[in-house]
Amino acid sequence: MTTWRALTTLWSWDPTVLLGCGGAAAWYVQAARPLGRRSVPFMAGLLVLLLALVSPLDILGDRYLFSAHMLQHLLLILVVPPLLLLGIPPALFERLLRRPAADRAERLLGHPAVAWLIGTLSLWVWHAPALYDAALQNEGIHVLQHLCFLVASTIFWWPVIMPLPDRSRMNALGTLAYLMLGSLSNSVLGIIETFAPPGLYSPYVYPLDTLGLLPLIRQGWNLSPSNDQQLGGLLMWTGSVPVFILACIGIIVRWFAEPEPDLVEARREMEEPVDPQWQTRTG
Amino acid sequence: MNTAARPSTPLIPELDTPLPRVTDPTGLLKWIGSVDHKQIGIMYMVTSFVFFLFGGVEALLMRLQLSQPRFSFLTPQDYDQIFTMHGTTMIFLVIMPMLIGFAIYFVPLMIGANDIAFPRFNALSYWLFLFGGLLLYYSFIGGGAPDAGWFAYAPLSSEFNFTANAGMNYWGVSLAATGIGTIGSAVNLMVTIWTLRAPGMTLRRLPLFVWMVMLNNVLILAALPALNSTFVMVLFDRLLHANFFHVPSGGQPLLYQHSFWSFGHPEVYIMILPAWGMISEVIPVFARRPIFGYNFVAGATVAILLLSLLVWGHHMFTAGMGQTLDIAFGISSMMIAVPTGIKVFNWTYTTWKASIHFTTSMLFALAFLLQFTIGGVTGVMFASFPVDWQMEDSYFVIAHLHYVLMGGSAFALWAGIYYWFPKITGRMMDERLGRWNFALAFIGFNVAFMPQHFLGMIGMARRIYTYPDLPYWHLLNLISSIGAAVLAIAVLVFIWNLIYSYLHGRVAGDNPWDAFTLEWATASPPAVHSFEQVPPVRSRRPIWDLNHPDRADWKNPEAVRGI
Amino acid sequence: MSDKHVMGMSLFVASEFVFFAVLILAFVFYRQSPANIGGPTAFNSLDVPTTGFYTACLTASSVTFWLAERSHRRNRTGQWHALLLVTILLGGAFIYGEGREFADMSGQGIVPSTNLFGTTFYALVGFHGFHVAMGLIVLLTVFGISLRSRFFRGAAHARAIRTIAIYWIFVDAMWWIIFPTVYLWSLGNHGILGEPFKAVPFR
Repeated sequence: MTTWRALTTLWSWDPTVLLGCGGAAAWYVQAARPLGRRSVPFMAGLLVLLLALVSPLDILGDRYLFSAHMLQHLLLILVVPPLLLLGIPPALFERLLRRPAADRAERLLGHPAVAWLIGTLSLWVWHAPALYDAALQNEGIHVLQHLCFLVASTIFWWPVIMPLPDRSRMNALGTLAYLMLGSLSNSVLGIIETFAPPGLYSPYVYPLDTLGLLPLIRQGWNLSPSNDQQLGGLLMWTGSVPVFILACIGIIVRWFAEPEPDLVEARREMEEPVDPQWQTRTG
Repeated sequence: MNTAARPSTPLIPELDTPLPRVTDPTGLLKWIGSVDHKQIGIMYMVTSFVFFLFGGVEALLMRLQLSQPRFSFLTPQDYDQIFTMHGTTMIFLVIMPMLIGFAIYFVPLMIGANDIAFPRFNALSYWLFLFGGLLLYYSFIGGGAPDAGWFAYAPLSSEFNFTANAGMNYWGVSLAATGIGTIGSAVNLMVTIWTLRAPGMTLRRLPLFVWMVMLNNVLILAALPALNSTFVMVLFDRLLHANFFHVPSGGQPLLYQHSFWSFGHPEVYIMILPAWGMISEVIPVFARRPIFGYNFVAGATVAILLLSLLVWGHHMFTAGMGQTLDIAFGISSMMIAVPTGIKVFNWTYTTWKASIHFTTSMLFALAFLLQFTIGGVTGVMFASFPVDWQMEDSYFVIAHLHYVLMGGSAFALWAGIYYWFPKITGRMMDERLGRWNFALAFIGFNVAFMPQHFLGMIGMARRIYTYPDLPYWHLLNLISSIGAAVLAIAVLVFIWNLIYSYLHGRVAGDNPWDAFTLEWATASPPAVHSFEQVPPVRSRRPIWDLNHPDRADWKNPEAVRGI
Repeated sequence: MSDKHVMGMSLFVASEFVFFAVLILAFVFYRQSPANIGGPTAFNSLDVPTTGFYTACLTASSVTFWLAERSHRRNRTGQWHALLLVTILLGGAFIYGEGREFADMSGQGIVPSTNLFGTTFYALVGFHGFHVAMGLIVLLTVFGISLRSRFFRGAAHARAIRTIAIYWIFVDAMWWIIFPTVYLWSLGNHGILGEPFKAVPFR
């Protein structure tokens, strides 16, 4: 088994995943008419979701490599929810939140402290070895785990993306603090996994090699259980940081683009018009 | 157009409980009992400067010892104490308090506040700094100065019988005291910036010095407690014979390194962020235009804030952390170079096709750009761990750190001092003496530290008290020592300039530089009650707007537009 | 959080979390060291039920202080003093319990220099106790001043009480991280994150 063969043959076209993603895409196309620029992040998010769940990452992560599983989870937690949230038009959210039940849920779960805790705790709880190993051994629990990640992370990213500014409960600095604490929490978990003795998650130490991949993984890719666990920990520790930085930059860009209400009025009150030849960079 | 008729903004909120006053304090008592942020700021600056002289003498002693191979001017034990005290002094007793002192003096003024949020707590922070520093220096006569290096790796520092004297105890306790003071200052400044801004001074209109100080406070709050924990562990080991780093009992010295550098890396950013803020104030004023890309400078600093908490391992590449960790820290260390580069670009581009006024302050700021970039480049070289494995603990590191901390922070402080001296004292600094100061400092600094890059590359290790007569080692060391001597003369010129200008300098007036930010609306020096009324704040350059109403920033939609 | 005193205390408290985080990480890291085998460990040296009782005292003191603050806001001076006194007694009980625990353990020969467990235990639990003691001194001071003067009785000083409450609740919250990590985790003799306690070779 070579790397190329592994990458091209180990795809798991799970019908539920395909149906789910296809259905979501179809729903979006008809609900978000006319399709604008927002469809790009949404479809990108769906594409990443699809790839995370059907690409070789899934099989490798399920049975052989902690690091592959970690990468899959990071995509589900850090990439898919923000993209999906960015892609759904605010008008759709408004319509959804007109229902009283949804509104109450948003008021409770959308509170920054609550959302942060839900996102962080779901990550930490599912990384407890007992639960993590159970998910590897039982497909039902595994699906539950992935659903938990997706839902909890969507809740986590909701106060950050906040497509409905009226419901925002944090200012820009608060959102930056929220993101930084989230990044640090991810990093601490990653640090613990990197430094823990190998065998933290026992199914990865002696995986059942039904596909004949172990020689490729152990020798070809040089991923011993120890290296694999460290790599997985590192992906969470360092690999998650660029996402949070991009998010911070996005928050700052959005913040600085806000109009300044006191100037709008002041400029209106000015008696003389501004010289059109006047450059900004004078002194 | 008559904008003078527009009414000023209302009085800013006062402290709600009047502070107790010592009746008619005069002279020294006035200073000792002061809770005025301006006086405390000055006390920080003067005290740090005195410690700078101590640290400078320590440096000169080292350079003298190293000027010849096999020189025996200092014994090895003396040398250990001197380099430890030099590093500890310069970092904890000079750069940090000097920058904090400037922040304490100027942040309230720049946001239009009449005092800092917690004036008595401010005074406490200063006195903790002073007494911590005095305790540290008392060690020279109280049993011996610390001698395990400023970052004091365990088990050398933590085993009570590995060091020649009890100096490391002093190190731990006195730095813990100053550290608590620093944390207090960070809390104080943060609350000041968040609650005492003048009306119209939104967070997006903060002067960049204030913005940088605000982010710096986050770093201080995140990093200094880790340092205090490290001190706890070292002192436990030393005084209670505990086992944190005691190898026979299973202690691991690497835990010390992780713990210390979790503080140590944010610490270097703590030492540079306010300096970046000063440069961001000085360059636009003397280039006579607003800074280019305010948003990018502000945003890049946020990225640096997050990244700086995650790169500490690049100080430990040679400690044997394993390839995986080396890769992780190498990648994140390379990432952190990007936002810094963005800032350097913005500062440089601010001067593009500008009419630059080459005041002494501006000269130091321009030298900062050059020297800090050099230091930054060598820093990124260290992010590549194979290079690091070769250069770690050599004079290449010493060259790098001095280029960023002296060529960077110290030069930025010089720029800031020349810029703000008129405001603090009411008198201009002498420009002729200033140019001499600058020329000697620039030449002295570069002659002192550029050769050290080469010394590091040809194999000279740091913290050695002497060296054999290998090819070029003597020559390069001698050149470096001569540079240090020139630098010392520059400092003497500077001191002379300070004294002369304070006594005989030209009276400055409120705004001698036609500068842009709110502190220039106060008298020079500011009255005890800095602002009777705060000018209207409608842009990032409120005083420019006030003095040049026809070209005010807020009137031009382009000038303060977001990204 | 617009009040500057609340903001200042919250920032300080946040920084103290970092301080304890380092000591906690040291404790967790050394917990799985084989150098501990044969000596005192969390498993064989800690009296969890007794400490649990004193933990309950500390937690109760947070509740009573919160109630005290409420009474103070409603200007019920008698209740305010009573609840503050109860808070002080409960906090004092916690300190007493911890002191007794330290005394018992050192009587058995477990001191900071004993082994990794001794070192990390005393550092972590000891510094937490130090923080509680500092808080207790503040509470006693407030109690004393409040008995003798109108200061601390008027509603205008609610902010000061709120600030102290943040500190006291932080100290309690910190204990609710330390207590499970040091004490509850020792039940069952498990190594880091679940496996049975065994000699793990260092990498």
